[in-house]
Amino acid sequence: MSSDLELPPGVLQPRDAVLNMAPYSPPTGARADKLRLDFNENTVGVSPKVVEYLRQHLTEATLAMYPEYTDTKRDLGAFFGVDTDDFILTNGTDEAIQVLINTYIDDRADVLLLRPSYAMYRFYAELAGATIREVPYRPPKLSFPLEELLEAIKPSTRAVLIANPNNPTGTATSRAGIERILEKAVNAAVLIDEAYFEFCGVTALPLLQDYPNLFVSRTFSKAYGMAAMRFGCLFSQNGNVEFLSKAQSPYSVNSVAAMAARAAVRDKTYIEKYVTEVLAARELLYVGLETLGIPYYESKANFVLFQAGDRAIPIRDELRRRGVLVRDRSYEIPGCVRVTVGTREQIRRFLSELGEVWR
Amino acid sequence: MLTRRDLARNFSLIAAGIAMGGEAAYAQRRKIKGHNADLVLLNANENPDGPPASAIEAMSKILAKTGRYHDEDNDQFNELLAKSEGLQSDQVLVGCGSSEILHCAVDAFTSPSIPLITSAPAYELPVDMAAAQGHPVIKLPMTPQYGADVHGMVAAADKAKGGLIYVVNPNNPTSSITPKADISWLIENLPANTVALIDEAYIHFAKSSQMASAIPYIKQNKNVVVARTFSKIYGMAGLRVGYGMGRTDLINKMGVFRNNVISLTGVYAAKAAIAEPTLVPERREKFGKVRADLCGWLDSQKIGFIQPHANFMMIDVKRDVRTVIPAMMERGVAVGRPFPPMDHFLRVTIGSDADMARFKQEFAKVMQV
Repeated sequence: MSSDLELPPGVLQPRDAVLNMAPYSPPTGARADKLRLDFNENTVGVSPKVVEYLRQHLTEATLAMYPEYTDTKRDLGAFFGVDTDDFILTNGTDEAIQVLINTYIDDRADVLLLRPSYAMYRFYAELAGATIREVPYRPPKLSFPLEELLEAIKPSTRAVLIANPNNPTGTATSRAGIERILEKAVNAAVLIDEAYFEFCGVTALPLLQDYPNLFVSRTFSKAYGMAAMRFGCLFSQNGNVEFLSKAQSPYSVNSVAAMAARAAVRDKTYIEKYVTEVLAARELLYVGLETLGIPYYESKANFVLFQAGDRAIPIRDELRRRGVLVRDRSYEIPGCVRVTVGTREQIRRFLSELGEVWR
Repeated sequence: MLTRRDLARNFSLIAAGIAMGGEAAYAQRRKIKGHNADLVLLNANENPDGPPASAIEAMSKILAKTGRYHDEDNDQFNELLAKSEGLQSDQVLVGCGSSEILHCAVDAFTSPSIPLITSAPAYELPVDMAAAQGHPVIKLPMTPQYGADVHGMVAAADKAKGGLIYVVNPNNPTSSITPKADISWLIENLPANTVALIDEAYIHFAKSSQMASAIPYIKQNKNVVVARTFSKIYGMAGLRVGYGMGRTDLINKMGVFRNNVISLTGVYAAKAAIAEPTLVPERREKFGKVRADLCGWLDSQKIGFIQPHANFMMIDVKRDVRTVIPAMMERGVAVGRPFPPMDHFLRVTIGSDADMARFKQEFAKVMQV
């Protein structure tokens, strides 16, 4: 592929892959005072109990030392029901993706992705020099393309990277579907990225001991409301974990995050309440969109993709002007805008603004 | 600070292959199974004082906002660091500790034909990162004064038609310095296709008039990258904040290899610490005194050592240090691991007065055995 883009004078010709990449469309700074429905975060923040725990435990002595992960790994292992040798701690999911790719992907290795999906899979795979093949989500509902994916898996496939539920489509596959992928992709590292697990409930973690090719990632940046702390986990059988640790930067997880995660998994009620609120708000959002006559894709996560036709970018911009931030996804799914689902109150405000913009 | 969106813009710079670094070698404490609270930790060159109170307060205040991604705070922090060193913000790269900066430099500036050129002994992380990728590593003995052999390093880079010359100043584990005249000579005489990486993790502890930062060479557009960290004199090893400085094109080449994002709490703690102008000089003074006291004691015991300039020192134990380390551990004092080829030297971190009193007491007993 080549691009018709004209480069400014003096700019070095990048690879076609880069030229053809859709421009990242970041919020234009100053998110702080807006209704931020653009990054799929927890819209009310981390549990107050975590804040309280940290305030008590942020001491000179704990912070002066290089991070010590033993207690965190013990508590998290117990929480997830796995041995401490079955996972590494990561600086969010991005590090998990990169560590997995660093461990298994050589130049020109065959890597299978779904389209559209989380952009960093492709990004890190390209960094590693992989040969990337993509299977599209199935129209019209953007449902999980299980048969097409199974068909695409080859004996030479070295990695299959799947977000479940998927960002930005919000759609997911079942545990049975994941098992079929694991059984077919015997020579590949199969990553099930469960960043939005809490809103969906389907997890591959119980399959860990049955499939040596299974890798599961979790993050504390979404439901747990700890995006700026930088904490996640990457799970696999302990034989694999040994190699994953080798490919990881030393001490990539900071002590505050490691302490926060321990406090976070103790406060189960907070997450349950937040998830319940989000699921109620998601129903409210569906009803509101239907009332406005706006088509949407049913989601298993804390965000919903809706169809704005040729108005995706103007609608995003007009909402921003009114203090509501959402993400344009029309560059990967024509006409689509993605809105993070927060509380019912926030969704009412969003619907009211959208209603005025839409007319 | 470079963000993911910048990474995409800089895609063209990316070469295949990302460092595969073994972490076990650096995580000394993990090897200490079931240690109790009484154990005196003089093994990892940490600062027992921890972050200043203002940093802890700043973190406490920002905790409630950690639910969101904070790219804009990271950008501002980048600018603040740049300003504090008199540089432009695109001449600074923030990382999870300076280890991430070292990692990025190895990825960006070594290759299967371009070696990492370092001293023996020096901090090993870059060596392991380069070796794991199959990139050549050249280790040169230090000078008799335990400085980096800058002439040998330049000759090695010249011969290899390029290289990444790594100088830790003050050096770890020797706590010695490479004098400013040698650093100047090195930077003035860098061969083509060669970058000098000056690791100044411990520079704040040095008081010698022979010690100078290499940051001014960045302003002269030289091929030099300087690494700094908040893990040492600032006492924030647990927070994972470090940074690298260099010419914009060098920083851009390194930035694409960064793996991690620093936490918002780390940003606020570091900002609070920088805002305290007396913190570094006061701590330098305090550690300097404890260090001088230990040197005086060792002199009185007729025990040799390398003149120290950082918050640790190398003591000549005149026997295989592998017998001394476990003996100290049995007595409740964790000290540094062996640093071959300096097998007769013990590395001990400068801790609090109480820590050092305990060290002297137990060390005297161990040395008499």
